[in-house]
Amino acid sequence: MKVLEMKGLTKKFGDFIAVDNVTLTVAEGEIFGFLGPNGAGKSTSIHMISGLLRSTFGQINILGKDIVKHRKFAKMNIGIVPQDLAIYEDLTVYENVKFFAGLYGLRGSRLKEQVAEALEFVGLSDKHNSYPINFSGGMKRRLNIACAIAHRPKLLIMDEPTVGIDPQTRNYILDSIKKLNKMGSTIIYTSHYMEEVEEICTRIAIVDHGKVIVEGTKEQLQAVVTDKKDIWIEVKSNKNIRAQEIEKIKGVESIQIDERVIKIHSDMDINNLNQIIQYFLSNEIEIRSVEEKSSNLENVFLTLTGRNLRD
Amino acid sequence: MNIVSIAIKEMKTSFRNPTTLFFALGLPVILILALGTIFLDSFKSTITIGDMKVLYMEQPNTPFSKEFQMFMNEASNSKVFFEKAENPEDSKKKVEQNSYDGYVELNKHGIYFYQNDNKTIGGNVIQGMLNTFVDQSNLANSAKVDQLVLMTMDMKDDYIKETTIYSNKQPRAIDYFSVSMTTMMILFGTANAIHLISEERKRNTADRLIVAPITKLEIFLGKIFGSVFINTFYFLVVIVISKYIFNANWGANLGVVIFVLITEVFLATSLGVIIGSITKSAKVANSVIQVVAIVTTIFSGTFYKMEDISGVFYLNPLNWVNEAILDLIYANDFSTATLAIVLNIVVSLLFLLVTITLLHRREGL
Amino acid sequence: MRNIIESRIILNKLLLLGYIAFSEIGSKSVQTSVIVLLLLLYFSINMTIPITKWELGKKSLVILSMVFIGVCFVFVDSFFIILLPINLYEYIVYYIRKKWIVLALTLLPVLFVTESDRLIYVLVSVFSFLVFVMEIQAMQRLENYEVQNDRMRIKIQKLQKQLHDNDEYIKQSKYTFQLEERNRLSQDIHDKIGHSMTSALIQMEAAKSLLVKDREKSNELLQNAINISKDGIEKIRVTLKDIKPATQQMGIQRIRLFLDDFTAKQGLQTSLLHKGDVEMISPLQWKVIYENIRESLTNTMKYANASVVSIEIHVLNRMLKVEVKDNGTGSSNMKKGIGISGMEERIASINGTIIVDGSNGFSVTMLFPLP
Repeated sequence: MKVLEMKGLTKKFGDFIAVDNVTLTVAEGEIFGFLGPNGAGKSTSIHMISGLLRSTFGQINILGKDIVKHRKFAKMNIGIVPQDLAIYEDLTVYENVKFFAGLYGLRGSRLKEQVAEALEFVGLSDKHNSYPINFSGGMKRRLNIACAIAHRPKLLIMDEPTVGIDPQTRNYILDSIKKLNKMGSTIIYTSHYMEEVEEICTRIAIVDHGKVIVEGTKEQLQAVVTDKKDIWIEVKSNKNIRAQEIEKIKGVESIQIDERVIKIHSDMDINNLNQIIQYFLSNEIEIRSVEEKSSNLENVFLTLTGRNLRD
Repeated sequence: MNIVSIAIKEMKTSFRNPTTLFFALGLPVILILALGTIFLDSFKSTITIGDMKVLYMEQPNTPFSKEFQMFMNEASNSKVFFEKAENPEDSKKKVEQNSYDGYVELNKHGIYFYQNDNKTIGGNVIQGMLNTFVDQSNLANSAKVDQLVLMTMDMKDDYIKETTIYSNKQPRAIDYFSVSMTTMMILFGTANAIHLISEERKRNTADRLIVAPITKLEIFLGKIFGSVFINTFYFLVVIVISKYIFNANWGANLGVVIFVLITEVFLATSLGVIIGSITKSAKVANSVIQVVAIVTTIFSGTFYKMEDISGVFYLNPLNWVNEAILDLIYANDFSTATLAIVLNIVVSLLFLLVTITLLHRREGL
Repeated sequence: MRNIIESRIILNKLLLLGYIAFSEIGSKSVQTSVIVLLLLLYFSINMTIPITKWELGKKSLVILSMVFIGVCFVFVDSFFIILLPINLYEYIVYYIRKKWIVLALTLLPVLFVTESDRLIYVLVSVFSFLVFVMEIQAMQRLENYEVQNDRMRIKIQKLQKQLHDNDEYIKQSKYTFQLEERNRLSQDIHDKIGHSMTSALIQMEAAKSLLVKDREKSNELLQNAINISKDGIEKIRVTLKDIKPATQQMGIQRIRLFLDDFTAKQGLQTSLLHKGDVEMISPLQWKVIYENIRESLTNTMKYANASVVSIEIHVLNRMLKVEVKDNGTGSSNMKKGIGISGMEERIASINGTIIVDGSNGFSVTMLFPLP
């Protein structure tokens, strides 16, 4: 089922076109990533989906229904984790989540249950009565997430949720996203951190200047630029290694033997890693590490636009 | 329902903010106490001024004739000298020309006191003395059915205005400042109201509210009601403290007084909201409200008693509210109160309407 | 800096003058004309204060004003005392920096004020005090901003210099590369072709001198020379092939011709670079590329104020990228003109996207999917 559909979505601010004729679909169960530099139009798109901004042209459907005609339905099914912290510092943790969840029509025991569940999920269940003003950045971020998920939205939108936080919280948040996705939420994730998008997203759209440049799975996007990969195998010594024999393995195009590192250039589509490793093992060559260096999304972006994701 | 939960949230956050709490509760109480004590004197008529000359005329059959004679004798000790007048018209003219400080006429209805409007100190002193006299006489003759009544006539250049002051108590400093500080603090609530919407924007929670399945109108009304409730609560606390701890006089029509004040809270809130929505930045809004508040306060009877409110000054909400409440307490007069209530509500609704239209057009909050 | 303060002080004084005029004129105690005269006098004394450039003059004028107020206070109307606080501030600020002491000092004269005016005096001095404090704070903030501004300006200058240096470096490098390339070419010609030609020449000279004496030998030598020449021609071919890209695609040829023509007519330097297998590009795509490059160059000529335009055609694995980039002024806020819309339409007809970026020069990037 299509959770989200954007058709010819455009947003103009005066003469400036922030989002330019974007057409995309997100299916149920996906973690869909918007990857692009700052100002590429990620946040603007998300603001239009969540109803913060009105689109200049185009249409957005949530669960098959137009968001302009079925405003309330769309809003009920969306949860948004804003880029900046959006919590009340003079309400307790519990009150914060309860207030926002209450706006979605939850009442009584159901409200209590779901608020407790959301807080449990972000690991703040022992902090119900604390005020977030004393929290660390990471804890505030988690509360920020809890406020968005207590009403159990079908579509959860996360706008750069990891900007400016420590690696530990970042991992925690990325894990929670995967967990939420397993529990049935479809997730839209924007970021200008390539690594995060590569790690968690099932499908990715690379955006720049308000346009979707390419869209697809991580592998598809990598294949846009090149169909080759490099396998670097670190060995104890390069004795007993015969280049000709490795080159016979299917897909291998060339090989470079350095003292400690064997660099194999190979076709990306063919999975020959097992065979290559098998060769090393059968010749009793001690492997220290194996690294597959395929083109990353940062590289894809750089090649396509000539600019870096982060300037 | 959403309106209620937003209102409750608003009250919680306001109540937990120590600065707001201090400005809404602490400051008025301290000011009432301080001003009430410092200006105790300026509300009593013990200013020493030179000899005062008063004309008087006694109609036959005046019930308090004997007491008044004694009063005049005692008054001469305080350098207030009474002279018998020849005829009323001539005497009034003399008062108007400032050659006498006042003219007293005794008849069976009571004591009439004419004073020149431009030279009020002498007149005030005499009026105060007459008041005391009336009080004492009433006390001594409490068995009598007829109570003595003092009427004061202010003589202006072109007309004579009659103000009737019953033998009720005059406001003491503490009474006066209890009223004026409460109304001032309520008006200063505007400063908080300008942040009602911008605060949400600042905390980014505005986005969350907009994203939620509620309308902008619900958000807006929730916040307004929350603000009105919490400020009503604050001024009620101030009234209770001033009434029971400082023994300030809030009169017999406390219910109506409170209603007038609630409409003032409403006015302050909607004024704040409209300023907040028109001005682009919170800083600009803040300076606007500071200027408005200072000007309003200075040109009102907040720190001193205004003798007569008229013309341009009446446009100041503090003046119309203060006058309404003083009239309720000391004159049992509901007309100014009705006017103030209507004015407050109409102006508030107008402001709210404009703000709602503005908000509706804007994207986001 | 002081000017701002002074204008606010004048405003403050005017307010008070207005207040006095409002409350005193019409009262019967003093004649209106006298009040107006005194107020005007006060006004002229105080207007001379900001005009005076000389510090001591300013101070004496302030003192004069205070004396004047004193005289009015004693002989005319006690109400004039409310003008005193501002002058006091003006004077004291020269000597005392601590705000609260200043306030306390200005509140001192309250002892001499008649009871009825006491309240208004306190109010006025507190009000004037607030104006002063606000002004002083504003002034300090302004100073801070200026310092910050200066710091930033210096930083910008530094960065600009760096940028310039880098540009220089790049230009230098380009030149060096060119020299190297020429060097390599002449080396190649000298090494490979030069040698062959020389030895062929020697053989032929020898053959000529032996032509009569020893026909056999001469024939052999000539055959040798022919072989060497053949070899040389082959070497020339190889060298030229090395120098010149092999692809003879119509598309790229056409673009190159157009660029040459453009450079000659417009005096704009152009460069064309292609990477990957250009054979993958279909004739239809070549057509769109050609037209869009032409459009972009026209735009550059019209708006960009650029001297160099570089064009890159890059065939990736699943995508084709064409980038036209100039070194002009660019534009941070771009309008979609008719030109860009036209390009967009053409690209869309073959399922491509176009990105126009003005952040660093002006660049048009076209992306098409490859089959």
